[in-house]
Amino acid sequence: MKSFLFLSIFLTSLYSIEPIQPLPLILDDINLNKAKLGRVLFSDPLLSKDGTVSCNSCHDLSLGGADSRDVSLGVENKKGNVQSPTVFNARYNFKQFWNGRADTLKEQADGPLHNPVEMAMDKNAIEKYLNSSDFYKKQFKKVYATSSILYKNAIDAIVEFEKALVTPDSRFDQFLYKKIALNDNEHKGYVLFKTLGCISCHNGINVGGNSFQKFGLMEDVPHIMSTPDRYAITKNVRDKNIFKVPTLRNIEYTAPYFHDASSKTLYEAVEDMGHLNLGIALEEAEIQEVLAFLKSLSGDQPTILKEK
Amino acid sequence: MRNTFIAGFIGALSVVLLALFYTHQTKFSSNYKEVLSILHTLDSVEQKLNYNILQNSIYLYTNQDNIAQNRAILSQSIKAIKAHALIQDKNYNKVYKKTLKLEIETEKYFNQLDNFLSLNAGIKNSFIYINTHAYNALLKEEHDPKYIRMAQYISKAFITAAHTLDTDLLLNTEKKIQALNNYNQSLSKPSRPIELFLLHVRFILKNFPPYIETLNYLLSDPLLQNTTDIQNTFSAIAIRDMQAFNYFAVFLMVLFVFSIAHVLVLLLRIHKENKELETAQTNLQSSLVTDRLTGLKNRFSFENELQKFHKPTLVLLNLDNFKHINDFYGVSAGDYILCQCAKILKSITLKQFDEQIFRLGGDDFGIIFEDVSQEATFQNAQMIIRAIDTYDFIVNDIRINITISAAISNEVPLIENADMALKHIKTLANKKLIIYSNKLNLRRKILHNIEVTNILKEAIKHNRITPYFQPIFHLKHKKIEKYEALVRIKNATGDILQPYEFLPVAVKTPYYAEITRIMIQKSMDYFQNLPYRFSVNIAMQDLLNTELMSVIKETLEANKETAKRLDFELLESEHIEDMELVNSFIREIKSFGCRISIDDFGSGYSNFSYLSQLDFDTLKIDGSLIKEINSDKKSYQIVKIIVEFATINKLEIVAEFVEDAAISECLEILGVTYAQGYYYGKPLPETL
Repeated sequence: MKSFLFLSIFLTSLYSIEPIQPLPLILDDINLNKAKLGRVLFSDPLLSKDGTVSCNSCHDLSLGGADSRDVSLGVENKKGNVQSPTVFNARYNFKQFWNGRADTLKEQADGPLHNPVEMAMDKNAIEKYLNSSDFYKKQFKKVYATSSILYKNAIDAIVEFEKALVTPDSRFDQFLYKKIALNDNEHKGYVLFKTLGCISCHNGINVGGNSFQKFGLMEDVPHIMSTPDRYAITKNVRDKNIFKVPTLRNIEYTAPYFHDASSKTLYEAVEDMGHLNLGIALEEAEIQEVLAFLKSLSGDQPTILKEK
Repeated sequence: MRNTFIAGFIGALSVVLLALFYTHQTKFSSNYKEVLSILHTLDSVEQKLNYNILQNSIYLYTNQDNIAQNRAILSQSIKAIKAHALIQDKNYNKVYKKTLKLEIETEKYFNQLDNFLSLNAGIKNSFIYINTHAYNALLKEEHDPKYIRMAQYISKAFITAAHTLDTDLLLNTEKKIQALNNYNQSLSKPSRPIELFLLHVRFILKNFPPYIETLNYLLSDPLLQNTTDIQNTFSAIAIRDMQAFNYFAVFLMVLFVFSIAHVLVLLLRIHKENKELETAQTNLQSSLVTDRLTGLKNRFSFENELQKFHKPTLVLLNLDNFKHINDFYGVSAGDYILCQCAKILKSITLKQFDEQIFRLGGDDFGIIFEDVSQEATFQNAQMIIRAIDTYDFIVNDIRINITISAAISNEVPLIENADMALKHIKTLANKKLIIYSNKLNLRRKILHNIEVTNILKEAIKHNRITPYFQPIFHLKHKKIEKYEALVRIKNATGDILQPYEFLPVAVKTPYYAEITRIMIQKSMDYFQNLPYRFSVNIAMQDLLNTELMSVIKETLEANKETAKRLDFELLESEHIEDMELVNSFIREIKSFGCRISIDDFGSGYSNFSYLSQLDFDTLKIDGSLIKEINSDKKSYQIVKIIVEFATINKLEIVAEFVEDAAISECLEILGVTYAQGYYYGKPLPETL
């Protein structure tokens, strides 16, 4: 409380604390067999009601684990109400979904499978489908030692796969590991990122994903009732337009941006964040430098995707 | 038996309960530790969050991951408590309810946390912006220095407010902000930096108070009270449970100790019973081997004890005429004497020779010596005899003296040999101590007794007891007037056994009475139609045999005529105790017309005192006197006196063993009535 007295002292040590953590290069908590089985399930459209939508449909593993469309299309081409967030590094988000309504990946995975505008399946239908497949029966028997496939085991496998979807060894991580130095632009961008205040929300291992923040903190954005924000859950007026702060890792590949896909390019997104949330009019040069930094956050393809 | 069952049941029950208790207690203990650990995590994670928030409020920016992690841990901990088996138990319902309350409180806390993080980011950025970017941008433009100073003032006030966390400091800035805004609006083209400056200032003005409020709330440990409450409630209930466990443990302990004690008691009781049984057995055994009266070892133990001796010598002692003592002074006097004797024996024998003293029978004592010379034993026995013979037994103020005889034997079978020797000396006058030896031929005598007894038995069984008749000649009438029936046994081979060959043995057997009966019966049958008187021998002891006497009386009754001619020759060789009883029988017999004669008068025990007591008719002078009547003057004189005595008392006299005419003449001169002997006829199966 009185600690604000020391604020100026801390200002001088602004750069000495690294508020972003690198991703681990090797994951040691993955059951590979489960993850591989989860990989198959992740891309299986037959897990949806009409056999057209898989997890991968909206979390395209070749497109940064996200959807390039403004809103995703579910079964029977039903439109969703939000821009699909990336599945990559999702395990490091403190909550899942834009409004954080799921605490865990397991809870999250359950959502789209049942959502009538996404995959629109139920537990029994999924079990029925999986148990009718000799392939799955064989695989599940191998991994879960069960002759009858259970829904919870399928979810477990998908979650295991998602846990493995980590993109290590980005240039910035290499910098944090002190393997390389950032180039001039990247470094300037990183300093701006911190001094402008982006870092206040986008920090931690996932460069975001560990708190909620208002979209339009400094400049109000009109609230649309169908928006799946915190308000949708809490019905607290204060929570209108409040969303989970998204990760900035691999951000260059996950256009369009924001929950409403209101920014089509990363340039626009940075510019918008400048006035909406920082109350700053960023100059062209500043944006370019921030972009250079943001692009250094793109990591390698997850190892699990390279597995045979 | 029932007690054993109960003890067993309680023991088994306590073991089962103990096992149950153990598993239950272990389970509880592990549950308790789990919950305690979760509660601890809860407490520590709240503190960590507190620290994280504080850190977050201080630093311009931090890694907020730890806040996210800790809030997740907090949520999980609450869920874990709610889901824990122990808390689900209805005893812990209070804890459960308080946890639900904490969960709601935590929900509020998280909302405030989210709010804080959101505001924190904006406010920090705005403070920075006001002080750095906006201010610098403002300086780059051309403005009235008055407004620059104004902006400077505002900026400094905000910094102070940020430092002091005192929103009051912002109140004074309102006018200046308004003025700065008016100034900017008055410009032909409003300044972008002023606009942004004002944007952030307004943002802070608007959000700083709720930010402070939220921060104060978060740092006031809003979960602490609930958490502590849960911990205390849980501890209180758990302590109660543990106390219950303790009580139960004490109960089990008591139960266990009780069953152990019970088993011990049972064991002790069994032990006691065993001991009692043992004592009873020992008593029984000792009563088997101990004579109750004297406390000496008895005949039974004699055989056992004898086995333990290597070179045993037995001194067998027998009180003389002890039966007489018992009869005369009473059994208690006899018992007293026996006890005293035992004491004397014990006091005299000083265990010099590992001797053992026994009471072997009614008045028989035995002492076994180990490896002792015959002389030493002899001296010992003499000493004992002297001691007892000279001892004055006082019974009811009456002094009684008794004598004792002893036989020594070291030849197997000890007791039989000593007994034979003892019996032998009892027949000898003035001999009180004898050493058994094979030379005594005692064993042969016994064998002879057995052989004769067998002959008697067979003879009676096969009707071979036969009367022979010897004539008795009336010296004055010069004719045979009587016959004496004399017993013979016809052997299986036809040989005739003489009385001396079997009677001495027969007298000591029950067959003797039977012989008497047969002789009477057969003689009466024989003389039924003969014109003679006839006599049958009868021992005085027979007269005391009531069974025999009643048989005789029946026989006499059945042949009254013949009975009148029957004489009973009383053999007086045995000592008679109850002369009155003998007399009463004599009277009965005489009532049939029978007569009584005294046989072998002048020999053995016979004396004149008898004559005065007995009512008899005839005296038969013993053959030993008659045989020598002509050669020995003394014999002659005795016979003469007897005849005179008989004459005075009007008794008939029969002389036996009259073997020649000279004797006959002499007897005739002396006045003897009848003569009997070879001179007048041998005993023959038939009358002459």
